[in-house]
Amino acid sequence: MASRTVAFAGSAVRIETSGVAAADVVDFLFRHIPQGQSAQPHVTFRVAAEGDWLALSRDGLVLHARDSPAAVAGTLLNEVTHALIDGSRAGLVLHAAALHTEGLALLLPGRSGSGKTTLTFRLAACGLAYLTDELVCVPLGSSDLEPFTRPLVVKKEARAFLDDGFDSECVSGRRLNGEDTIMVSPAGIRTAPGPACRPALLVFPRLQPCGRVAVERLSKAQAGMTLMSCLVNARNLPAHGFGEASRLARQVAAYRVTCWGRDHIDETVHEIVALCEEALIENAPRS
Amino acid sequence: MSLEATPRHKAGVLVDQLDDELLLYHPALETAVYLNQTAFLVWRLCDGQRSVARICEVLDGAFPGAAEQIVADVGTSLQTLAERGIIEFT
Repeated sequence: MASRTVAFAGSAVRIETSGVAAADVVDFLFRHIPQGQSAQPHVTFRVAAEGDWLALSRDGLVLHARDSPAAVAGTLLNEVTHALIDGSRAGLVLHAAALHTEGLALLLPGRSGSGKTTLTFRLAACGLAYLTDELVCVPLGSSDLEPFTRPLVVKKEARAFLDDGFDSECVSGRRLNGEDTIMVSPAGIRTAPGPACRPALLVFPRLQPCGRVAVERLSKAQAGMTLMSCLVNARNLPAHGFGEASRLARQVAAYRVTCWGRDHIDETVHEIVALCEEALIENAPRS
Repeated sequence: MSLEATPRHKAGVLVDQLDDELLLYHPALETAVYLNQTAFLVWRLCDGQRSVARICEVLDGAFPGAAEQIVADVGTSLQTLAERGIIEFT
């Protein structure tokens, strides 16, 4: 039996695997999470291959057993994510996508359905490097960023917004097609490991099905309020992370980008890229 | 809301001023609120001593000629702040 420790934001879980198919699923999901962090696992998952079936258990309790690697992978990813959040105390853990360029990170905080994943995929195609489509940690008192670099999870209803041949049913090693979602490995999109990056721009996406694309600069207080709504580990932090969220809102320019239905996605992406270029100029070292 | 009611800040609410606005957080309710300049001013006047009527008088002195609008705006602001657990009335 093999095992792997997955760590994020000062929290860790252990995942044990039995069988090649189980190991393949776990490797697909977590190979881009850096190893070697010092946190002790507080929960153990086990994925066992039994014939054509994969069985997932947590601390000995069976959670899911199916003959679909994609289905078990989806459940495992959700369970690991929630377990990591439960134990995270090292910083603000935000429900946010993130990409970076030249050491500066763009964060897209927002709830499920706000468009983070679709925008992330399209922004990566524009040249930004993928960090995560789900969670970032801003360590307490730090300006660095720790992304949870998982496969990008595309809901099937969002496939229409993507233009990279998602009709293939073949598991290519970089994609895992399920009934409701498609997972795209970070290896399948632009990912560029580099030096630690710091947040330089907050863009809060808001999906509306019709209307024009709108870009609104947020005040620091507005940004702080919206960040608090995207915080998923508030109860684990001193003062629920309020001070840290205020600090981040003070330091980083924030915008709300609204209304990017299918007919406006290119324009939306263009607006965000322009904001990134401004942030690069703003954050350039002063000579 | 009675004009004689006296609003005051609720205990336990976390406060941070960012530029000329205010960010507040109520840990028990897990809700964050931001106050723009005007709402910030109203909040500052909620000291547990001034009645709603007195708050309106202060603002009327600062912004003369808009008494009716001030009463309406102050009432709305205070109601919103109370609903979000930021202030209470004694």
